[in-house]
Amino acid sequence: MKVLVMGGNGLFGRKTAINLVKDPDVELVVSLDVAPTKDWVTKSMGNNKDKYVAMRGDVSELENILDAINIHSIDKIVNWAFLLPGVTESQPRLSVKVNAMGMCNSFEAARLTGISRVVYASSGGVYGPQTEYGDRDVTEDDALHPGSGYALMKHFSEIIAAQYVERYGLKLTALRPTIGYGHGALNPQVIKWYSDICSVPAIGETYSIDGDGNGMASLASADDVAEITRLLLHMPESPHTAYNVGGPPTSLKTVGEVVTSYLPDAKIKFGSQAPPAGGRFGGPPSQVSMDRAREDLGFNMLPLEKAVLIHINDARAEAGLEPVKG
Amino acid sequence: MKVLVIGGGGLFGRKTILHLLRDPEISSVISMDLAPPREWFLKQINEYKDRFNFVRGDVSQLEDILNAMRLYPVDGVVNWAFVMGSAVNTDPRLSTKVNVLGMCNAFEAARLMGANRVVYASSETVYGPQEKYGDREITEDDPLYPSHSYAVCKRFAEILADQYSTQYGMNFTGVRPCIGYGHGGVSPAQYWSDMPSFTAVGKPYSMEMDGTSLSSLVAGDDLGEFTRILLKAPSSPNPVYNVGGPPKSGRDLAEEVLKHLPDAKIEFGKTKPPAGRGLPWLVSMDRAKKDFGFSCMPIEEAVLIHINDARLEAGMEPLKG
Repeated sequence: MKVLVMGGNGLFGRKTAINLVKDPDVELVVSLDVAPTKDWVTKSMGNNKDKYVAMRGDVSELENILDAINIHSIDKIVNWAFLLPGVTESQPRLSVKVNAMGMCNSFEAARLTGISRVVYASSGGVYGPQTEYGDRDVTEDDALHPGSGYALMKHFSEIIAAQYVERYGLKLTALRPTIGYGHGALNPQVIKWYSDICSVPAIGETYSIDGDGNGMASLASADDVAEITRLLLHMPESPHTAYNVGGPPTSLKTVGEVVTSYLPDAKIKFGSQAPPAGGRFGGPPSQVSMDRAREDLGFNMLPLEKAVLIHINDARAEAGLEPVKG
Repeated sequence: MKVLVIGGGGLFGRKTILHLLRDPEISSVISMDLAPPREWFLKQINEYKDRFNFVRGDVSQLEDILNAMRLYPVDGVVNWAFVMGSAVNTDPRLSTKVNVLGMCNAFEAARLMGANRVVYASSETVYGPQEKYGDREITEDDPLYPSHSYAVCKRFAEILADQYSTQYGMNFTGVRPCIGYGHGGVSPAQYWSDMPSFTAVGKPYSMEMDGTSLSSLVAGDDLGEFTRILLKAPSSPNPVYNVGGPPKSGRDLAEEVLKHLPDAKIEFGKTKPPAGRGLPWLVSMDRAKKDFGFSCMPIEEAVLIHINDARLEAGMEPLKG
């Protein structure tokens, strides 16, 4: 298969590309992004980098997507091109063009070129906060309570996806990651906290935060998202239209302990600021059910220890440092 | 003041233009729409025609709006252009282009061309069903439960307006109309518009429903007048306003029609209203009343205007009130 990954240079996009080129059934991965591919990403592909092509393109321009599909005879599409909270609030025009038009463009480009299989980015944000559901795992069948502009556009993406399926027979699958983390993640703040706590000590720098590190969030490492995406692309269609991607509630302190287990000299400092009421960060729920992904796809999240080790070594790869052994 | 009304050919758009033109302090009104103004509407605004211009344009094309504003500079913008009805559930590309990008285009064009005052269409659908609130009036401060495409886009428009306001210092006001009705109105609840329009020109009107379902109604003229008031305020004390009258049923509307047209033939069927209709029918107008002294007109008055609009289109003499 030949896969177009829109937003291929973002946190989830680059891991999706790295993961896909390793798959012998994948002939070509084309990344479409406005940003260039980072050197450490292509290095991570090793001998498979010949299966990877980066194209400059803007998801808000339908013709950029059509161009990539046409040039490379693409047969499957992944859309990770999305602006996150922390950017959307200050750039409303850009967020409409990327988060609403861009998503619709990815579906429309698939329709126009006869590609039926698309995996796209929804978000755990569509559920609203954990408080809407009480102290239990949130399932994909639960009622949605999107509150922010970001979450509303994710919900809207799922609504128009359902219409593309109904009207044009496309085979679309949404992923609803919780707090995505991995090396180089920037927004929103909570994602940056969980990303930097691994990336910063990985290269010998001090990580400090005002918070006491006790707040809880469900985490989805970029490698988890990449792997479930790969599994879904292998299926002509998925039994369900949307899948949660998130691990159990995890605190920054817990992640810090895992980092220290690999890097005993890591300098990680927490402040005294208590987490928000209820001990959970805002944004997606902190407890999500992974039963559906497990039953339909046989997918399980990476153990935190393994995800953190990959994360640390991505940061070290970018800095030109030797990897840490697991 | 000069005003651009995007979606000026629709129910709310026409009435907004009419109310603006009746105001001597509004020196120019520009309508932008894909469809040209209807003949009967041009007759209605004939005495103000020197202050009215139409520009063909598509709200999903930023340059169309910029073109209209370049041809006829304005200081206020109204956006009523929105896809509703079955298209919003069957044409995902169109609803994305019009309902999300189109609204953003209206805001962006206002920003780029220096029109600081914007009034735009939100909707009561942002609240979700009445059942969420119990048997009480819903206020603008209540939590929101948008669930379908139309409602999600309306709520998103409100968030976008807040962001434009914060980023660029523009003055936005969103209106949350309930069930809009008036001559030529197109809506998922079509009977509110069709019953007075059909009977006004001597046609019988029948519906399968039993006519007992309650809705909060807003006449096109209510929206037109409230929009005029909002535009003349440099800004509004609150970012959004409900616009809807007290609960009315189809049978209540029929009674009002029969007061003006005693020979009108109106028949109801036996289909009971579905449980949990999905729309609020009790909304508070306290905020609009307090901030702007605005209330929806009595249904008797709105129905008479509605009937006479239909008769105007048919070339018939108006009824006296």
